Amino acid sequence: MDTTVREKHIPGEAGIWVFVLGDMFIFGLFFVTFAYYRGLDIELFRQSQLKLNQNWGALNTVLLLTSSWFVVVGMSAIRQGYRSMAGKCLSLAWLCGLGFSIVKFFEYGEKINDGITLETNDFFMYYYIFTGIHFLHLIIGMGVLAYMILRLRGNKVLSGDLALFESGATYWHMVDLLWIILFSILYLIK
Amino acid sequence: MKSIFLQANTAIWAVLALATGLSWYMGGDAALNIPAVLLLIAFFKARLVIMHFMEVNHAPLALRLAGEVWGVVCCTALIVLYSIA
Repeated sequence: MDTTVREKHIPGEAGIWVFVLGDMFIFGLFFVTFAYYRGLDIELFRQSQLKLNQNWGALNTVLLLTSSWFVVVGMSAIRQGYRSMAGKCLSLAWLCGLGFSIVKFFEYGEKINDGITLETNDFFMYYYIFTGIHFLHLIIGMGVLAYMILRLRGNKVLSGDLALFESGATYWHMVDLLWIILFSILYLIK
Repeated sequence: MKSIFLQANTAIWAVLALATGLSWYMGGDAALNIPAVLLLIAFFKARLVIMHFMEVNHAPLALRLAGEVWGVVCCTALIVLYSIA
């Protein structure tokens, strides 16, 4: 247990939570919309899902979970003043994000080569839109992580920047959390 | 320095990875592909991320409630929609 975390503490700036909760609400609507339209044509959705590679989805889930863990460890290092260790952890989290991107590019390429696009059917429309919007969030998150890593290289007192680091970490965990549900409804449940 | 790795969140990560492996296995097996169970596993994982990684379990009640309500409402809505489909 990280004893440095105080009781009744909002991690990061309050504003980041308005954004994160708003984003989670919008993705919640995406999930429900997908489930509703799936119910209208289960067979089409099932056949389309069989064309997705569940292994790539699982690999990306583990990559994001691991990146989130590196961020958690990195945050503990920041709170305890281990600047260099924090930088290493956040860099490893960033590399996991890069790994996710490479798998996603490979996956999209595979589908496009097979002639499967946004216009193929309703399932693939949702697949490309939801995973595409999530991917955009991931790219922004990698930018945020890169900024945090650069910030750690300065000489500024870490405790003064804690809310900034916590905000970045919160955003990155949201990217992970939304993928957990997307993986389940797009790849697993048939 | 060791304590930053040997924290409860490392065990949480292991649980999340195991749950991912379990749902991956269930997703690939027609007999075990039960929507309600897979959804419960997914939202259980999401709750672990919200409460532990995002540190919402240490946040004021309003934020904890927001996190819990999001999970319960989304999970319930999806289980209903998958059940009536």
